[in-house]
Amino acid sequence: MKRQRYIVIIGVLLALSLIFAYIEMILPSFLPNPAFKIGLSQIPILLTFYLLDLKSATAVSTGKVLMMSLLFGYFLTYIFFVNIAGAVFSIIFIGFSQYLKFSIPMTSLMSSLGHNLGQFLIIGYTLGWNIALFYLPFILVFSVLFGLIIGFISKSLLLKIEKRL
Amino acid sequence: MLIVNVKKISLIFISFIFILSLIYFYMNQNIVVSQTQFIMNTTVEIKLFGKNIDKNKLDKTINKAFNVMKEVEDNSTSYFAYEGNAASLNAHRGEYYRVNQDLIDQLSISIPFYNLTAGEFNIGLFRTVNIWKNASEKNYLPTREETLNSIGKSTPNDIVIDKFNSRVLLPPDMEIDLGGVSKGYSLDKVISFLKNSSVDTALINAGGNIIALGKPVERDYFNIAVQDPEVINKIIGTVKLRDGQAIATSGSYNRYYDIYGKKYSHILSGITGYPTELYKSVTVITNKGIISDILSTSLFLLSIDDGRKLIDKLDYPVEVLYVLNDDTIVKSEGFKIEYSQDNIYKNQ
Amino acid sequence: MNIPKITFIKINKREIIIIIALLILAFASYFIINNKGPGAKAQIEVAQNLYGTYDLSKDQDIIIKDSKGQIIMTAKISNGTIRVITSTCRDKICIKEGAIDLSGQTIVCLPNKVVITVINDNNQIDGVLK
Repeated sequence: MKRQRYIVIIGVLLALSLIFAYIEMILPSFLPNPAFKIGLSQIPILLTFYLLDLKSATAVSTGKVLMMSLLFGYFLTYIFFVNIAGAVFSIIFIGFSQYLKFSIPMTSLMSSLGHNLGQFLIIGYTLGWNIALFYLPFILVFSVLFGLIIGFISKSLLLKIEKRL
Repeated sequence: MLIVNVKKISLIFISFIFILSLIYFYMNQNIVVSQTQFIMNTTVEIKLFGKNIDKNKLDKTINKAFNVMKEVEDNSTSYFAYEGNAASLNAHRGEYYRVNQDLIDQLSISIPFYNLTAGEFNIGLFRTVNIWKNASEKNYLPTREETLNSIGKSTPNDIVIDKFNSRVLLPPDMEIDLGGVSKGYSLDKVISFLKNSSVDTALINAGGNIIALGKPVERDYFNIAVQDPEVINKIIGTVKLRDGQAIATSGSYNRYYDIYGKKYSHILSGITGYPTELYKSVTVITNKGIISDILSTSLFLLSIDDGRKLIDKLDYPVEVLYVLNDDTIVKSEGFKIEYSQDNIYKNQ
Repeated sequence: MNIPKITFIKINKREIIIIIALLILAFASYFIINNKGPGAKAQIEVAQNLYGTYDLSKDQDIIIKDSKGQIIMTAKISNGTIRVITSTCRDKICIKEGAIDLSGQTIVCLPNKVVITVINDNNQIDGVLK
């Protein structure tokens, strides 16, 4: 693949994930606890992983957190580290899924599970495990539910992209 | 040919461990099984603390514990005659009568308190109690002569206990009433029953008597509220009750004879047969249910000085709290109580 | 650009087993962790330090300050519930979470590191001596 093409694709995907993250931020939450999100910005990250590779997905994922924090002024604050932990664990879980040859929806599920577990671990470590444990059942249910939804969306997008290629 | 799918097996194995650990967590949850029944003229609540896994066993144990208590009640009541109980013994006074072990135990522990309290704690007051019961029903005040005459010449010291043959000789002019003994005694019996049924933690609340076994999960002690003698629904403060401790309170506020609208305490002096009005209430903490019951009654009848002398003679660790008629609280040094914020009592 | 064939594996038995296991774990942990009943007190922690414990039966406003003494949040107790009414954080999730009153429920404000938990009265009375 040509270098220019690679840069264009990864740039578009990063921009998409930033836009999705912003949309999710301004949308009113319909969930019982507004701290939970569907994870729309995870779609471009999954697309990056399947269209390019894990390394590129890592770049998009961490790049998204970095740029969001710079845009909204929480760079190097506590919330930034919580988000970074989520991004890193999410990537680790995607890599794990690749090793286990999981399907796209399952990989998405693992990614969202990793994202939540990463945040769970850092919140538990910094704010106490009791609080984190209270959220554990919700983390699991929402990871499965939204992970699968995002996974199916990503899969249909990938199928469409494949036809155009 | 044997092909082993390693991934499949490890997956099944992992989910199996998953489910097992879940079941383990569920089973090890702490639970409280509690039940309330009306026994010995009071509501008795038994609370057993344990793990979820033992729930069925605890449910069965709690029923058996109430049966133990009912058995003690039947064995010690003076109002309904059963083979070998106090009512039958009263009917067979003047002769050797074969009684049950519960009665022998209660008699042999409570009789020495007659001498220790210089006659104030007297278990031979069944007739006097009946006079007061009648009086409150018919609304007349018994005279001091009447109550004094109802106490016979014989004292509890004249009761002869033949432990070897489980027989008791009651003097002909005496009938016993174990009102101030059997509730506390029944708590001890229930606790030893629970220990034998391998229950580690329990709290038994029989109104004026509470006994603790073990400790709850979150604390080293049980929090017991001591009720205000004047106002129901208000408390003086809270007391920490630890493993094996029994707390008992005696007061004129809870059980009394209502005559001409005046309240007469149900605790009668063993010498005069008349209620005393030294205190509003007396609360005792010690390490045996029967002793806490006897002592709260005895100390209610004795002056503070005589009470202190009595406590010094005993081998049990005793802590006591008096609420005097002028709302002053006097307590022994070891009686740790956390006063509630809105109580009106002056601590001395 | 080539998308590897492996990505178009359909959801299979093994994945469904994992999903079901996760859901079972979720529901089971929900029942194990949440012992819900009305709580007696609200405990406020700032950066894992206990800031204060407040009686839910007394209506009051609580001003929460961080370690530098700056006001970061105000909480309101009314009708036995507690909620956050103002916060300096960016997303205001803590305000959107609304009022809580069941023991074990929490309001977490991550940017301010504030955790509000409804707890049972640990000094609850086990028995009343009458």
